[in-house]
Amino acid sequence: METSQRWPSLSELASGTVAQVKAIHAGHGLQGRLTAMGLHRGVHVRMIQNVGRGPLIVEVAGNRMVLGRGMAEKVYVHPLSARTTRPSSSEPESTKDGPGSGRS
Amino acid sequence: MSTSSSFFTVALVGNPNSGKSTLFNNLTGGTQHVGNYPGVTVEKKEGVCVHEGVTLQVVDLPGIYSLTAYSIEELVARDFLLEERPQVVVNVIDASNLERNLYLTVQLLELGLPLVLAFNMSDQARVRGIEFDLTKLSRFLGVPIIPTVGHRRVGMRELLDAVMAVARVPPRPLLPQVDYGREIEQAIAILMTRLESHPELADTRRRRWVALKLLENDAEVSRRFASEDLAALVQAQREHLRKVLGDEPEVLLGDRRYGFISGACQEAVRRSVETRHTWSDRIDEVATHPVIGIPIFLVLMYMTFWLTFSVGRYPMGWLEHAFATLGRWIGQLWPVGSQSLIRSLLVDGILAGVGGVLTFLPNILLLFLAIALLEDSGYMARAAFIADRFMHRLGLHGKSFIPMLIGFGCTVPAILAARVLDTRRDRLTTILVLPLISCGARLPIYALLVPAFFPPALHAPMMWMFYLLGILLAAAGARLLRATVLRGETVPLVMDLPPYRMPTLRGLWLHMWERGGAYLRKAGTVILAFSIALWALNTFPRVTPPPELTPSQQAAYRLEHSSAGRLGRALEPVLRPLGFDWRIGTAILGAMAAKEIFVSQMGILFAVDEKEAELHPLRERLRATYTPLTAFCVMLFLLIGSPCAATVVVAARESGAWKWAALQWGGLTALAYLLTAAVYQAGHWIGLG
Repeated sequence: METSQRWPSLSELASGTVAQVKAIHAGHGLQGRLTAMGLHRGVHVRMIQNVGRGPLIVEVAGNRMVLGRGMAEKVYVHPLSARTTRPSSSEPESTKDGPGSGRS
Repeated sequence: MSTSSSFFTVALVGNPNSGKSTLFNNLTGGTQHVGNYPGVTVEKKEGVCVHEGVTLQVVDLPGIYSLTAYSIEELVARDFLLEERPQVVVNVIDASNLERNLYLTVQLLELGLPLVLAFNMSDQARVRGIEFDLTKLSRFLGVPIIPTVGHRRVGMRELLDAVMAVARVPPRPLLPQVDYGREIEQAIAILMTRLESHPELADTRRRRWVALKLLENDAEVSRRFASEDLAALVQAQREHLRKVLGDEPEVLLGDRRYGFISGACQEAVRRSVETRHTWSDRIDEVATHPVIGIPIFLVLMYMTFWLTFSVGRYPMGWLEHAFATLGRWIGQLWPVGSQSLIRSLLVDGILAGVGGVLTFLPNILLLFLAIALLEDSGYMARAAFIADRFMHRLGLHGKSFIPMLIGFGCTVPAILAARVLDTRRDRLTTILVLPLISCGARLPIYALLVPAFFPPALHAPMMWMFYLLGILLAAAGARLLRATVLRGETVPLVMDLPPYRMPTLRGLWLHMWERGGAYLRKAGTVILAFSIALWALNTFPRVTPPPELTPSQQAAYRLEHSSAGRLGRALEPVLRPLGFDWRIGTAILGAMAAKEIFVSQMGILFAVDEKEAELHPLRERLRATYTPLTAFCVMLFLLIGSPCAATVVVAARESGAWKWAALQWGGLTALAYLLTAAVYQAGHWIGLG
């Protein structure tokens, strides 16, 4: 399971970035809960809001959920769209530039 | 089994926010009954529905994401499905959120339950550009699927028809099942062989389910079915899978289930449009905005309060007037100057005690209405998200914010609301500090004392100060608990942001009364009982005062020599450092039953002449007797100390142990005593009274 350490964590994903979940290293119960809520290995996530501190909002299969920062740090992802910059204080407006989110 | 054809049980199961409650309300109308599951305090909603002459008992199970044992809700739902064996299980699915919802469905299929799927909110799914081939999907899953739109009551008849069809024809023995792949299937087979001898597991499907749960390391199932050597075998199998497949078995099982789901969806679901910004997402751009979101949050919270307290003032006034009139009317049934015990019990005991609580009902109902609005519209989850920033610093969850908010209405439903928290540690921390949030029952105390002792300009700031002080103490208390008895890592926040929805009047009405009812029951039971007990303490032993005294002096004499008076006097040495006399001591004894009883108790103690049984004269009497410093200290003591009897009972039940309730009561009362004593002594020293 050491391999997953190469992937950035979800908490490093800038708003608007799309990524694929590679591994989740949570405790037994929490892992099951995340899986049941749709956040599991292989699924695509889109970062909706990440302001560098506090909880973040991600979209998983059309559904939005809030993740505590500590939790997001344990979810390792493979970014699919280019921007994997460290979390800056990007405004949530930037989600509009995200892929597949054309306005209308 | 001839009875089963005319009466059977239908269970509703589904994810939170799948629209399950709306379907339940549609099916059962006004027949529902809210109770509790034995042993735990998860709400059990039941109702009756008659379809084609057949009576269906509909049970609305708590909203869950899966059938693990992660939360009490999941455990309760699972136990109900396994033990009560409902004839039909309706799995309510948010069709616009299919894959995730089907994860629960797969587990229900694994349990071999007679299923009907209600594809709810199918209209929203269409808006999102999702199209289903329900015939194909239904064939793939082996269960009937009915499209429904809960809030427009679409598909109810068809759903009931499908339920009846499934109930009449016993489910086919073999529904499709997830193929977990060679290695895992081998492990399942090995465990199933070992479970064959178990008397409860004659059914193959059930045996397979138990084997799966054992592989998943499910605590509850392991405890029930795994003997010591079986447990060792399970661990060996888990270790084997870990080595061969390179991952935790529960992760592997989750992967396979989602694989099965995506297989089903590939066949039967078409997405014509890419996921796009819906109006709900647009609202969120503002509502969860890191900057703009905060003032929106504050404004909505302020409006909640405004609705509760400003609008609530009017019906409260009417009720007060009505009770005063009723009291006078009952009093007139006896001759003037009568010492009738029954009259005294009715007017001074029951009416004064319960009336005081009931006049407060409008505020409580309005608060619960506001909370229902926040919850039903979907904003509550956003509020928790915004609140998480500062709640997190207290070592609490953003979700703790919800019970805290309810705590301003009444601590009892607030403690019940702490169930939204997933872990025991978070739940306990929240429950323990909740009494510090100034509940509605403390409002009458402030409302009596603040205008009596302080100039009008100070009224509002004074009230705010007590509310704020409560919040600050709760914050400090939470930090203290997390640093001592409830030490440990904070469980990270994981929470759905459901799409915004237009609340329905019916839903708001039902939610308001669900919680308001809890408050009413408290008034009807605990507080009534304590009112009578206190009245008895105030009345017995009956002594004959010296005849030369005036009537009001005689009444004062009688009270002073009653049990309450004697207890108050006995406590006086203890209470003197706080600036309290025996009368305040006696009223505080009442407040231990329920905070608001302090007011009625002071009323009984001072307004012994029944014509003066209204607030204004009571304030005059209090002003003549006490200093503003004492009044301040009384409010401070009652803000912090002696949580009410109902709180103690509910806290003990929800925390699962009386020791927590005892810790809560003792800790808060000790804190109240020390703080109040410090304030009084300091105030006294600088010459305030």
